Amino acid sequence: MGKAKNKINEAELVRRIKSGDSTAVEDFVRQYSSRVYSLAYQLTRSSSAAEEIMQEVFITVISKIATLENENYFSTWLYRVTANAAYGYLRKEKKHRDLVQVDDVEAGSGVLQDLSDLPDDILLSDESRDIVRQAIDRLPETLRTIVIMKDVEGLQNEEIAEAMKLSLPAVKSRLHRGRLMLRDKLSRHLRRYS
Amino acid sequence: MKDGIKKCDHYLKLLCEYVDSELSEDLHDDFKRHIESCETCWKVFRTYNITVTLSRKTKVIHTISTEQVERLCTIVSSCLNCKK
Repeated sequence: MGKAKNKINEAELVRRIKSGDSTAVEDFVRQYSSRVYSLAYQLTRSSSAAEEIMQEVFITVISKIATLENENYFSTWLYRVTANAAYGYLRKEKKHRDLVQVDDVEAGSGVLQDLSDLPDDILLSDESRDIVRQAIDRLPETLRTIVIMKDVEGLQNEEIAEAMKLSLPAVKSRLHRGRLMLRDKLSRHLRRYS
Repeated sequence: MKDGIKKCDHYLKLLCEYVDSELSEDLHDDFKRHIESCETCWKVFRTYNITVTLSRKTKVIHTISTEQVERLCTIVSSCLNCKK
């Protein structure tokens, strides 16, 4: 119900922007700036980069909004523009090197540690979270975007599929492989406690 | 033994959807029964589930200040006016 209402508001907002309503641009920025900033930050891990990307995204989206045929896909389009801008920034800054080809990744091939006896305060500690955060940053781009969109930003698989122009099975497959790689990193790290 | 591995492979393919609660009720219950009786699959599930929980905890909550929003509105509007 909430989602349907959001979609209606979203479509209405797009129509207002398209018709040249000047207040619509302000509403658009207020409504979506946190989401754009958050995704940009998760992908770049830099506040100044996120702010720069956010600015670029809003200018791009507003200036190209006439090309958006289906207003219902507005937010997924926004996520796609944000992800592209973030990777564009990283490439420009040469901070990101996607050396591992996704097809070469043997996710989940590591020795599985038995973590079942470890207490929750170790398993769910800030240290474990930081290991996972670092591991997310080192995932190949194609897996990282999906893991961040799903597990960090909380998007639905269908929204990710639309934003990334992928099929639903492809999203699920990449998500699963990304998670398996993170699990391997975490398992290796926690080996010292078992 | 081979049948057991085959069976586990079948369930592990459903792991992602199980953790995300995307399986039908029947499959969900079937999966749950299996991991409760299979120690290996239980371990895989537990480590996988903890990883997903930790990923969710990595989210950094940002609050965009009113000043930032206003600055952004000004920049976007002036860019659009330049293009007109």
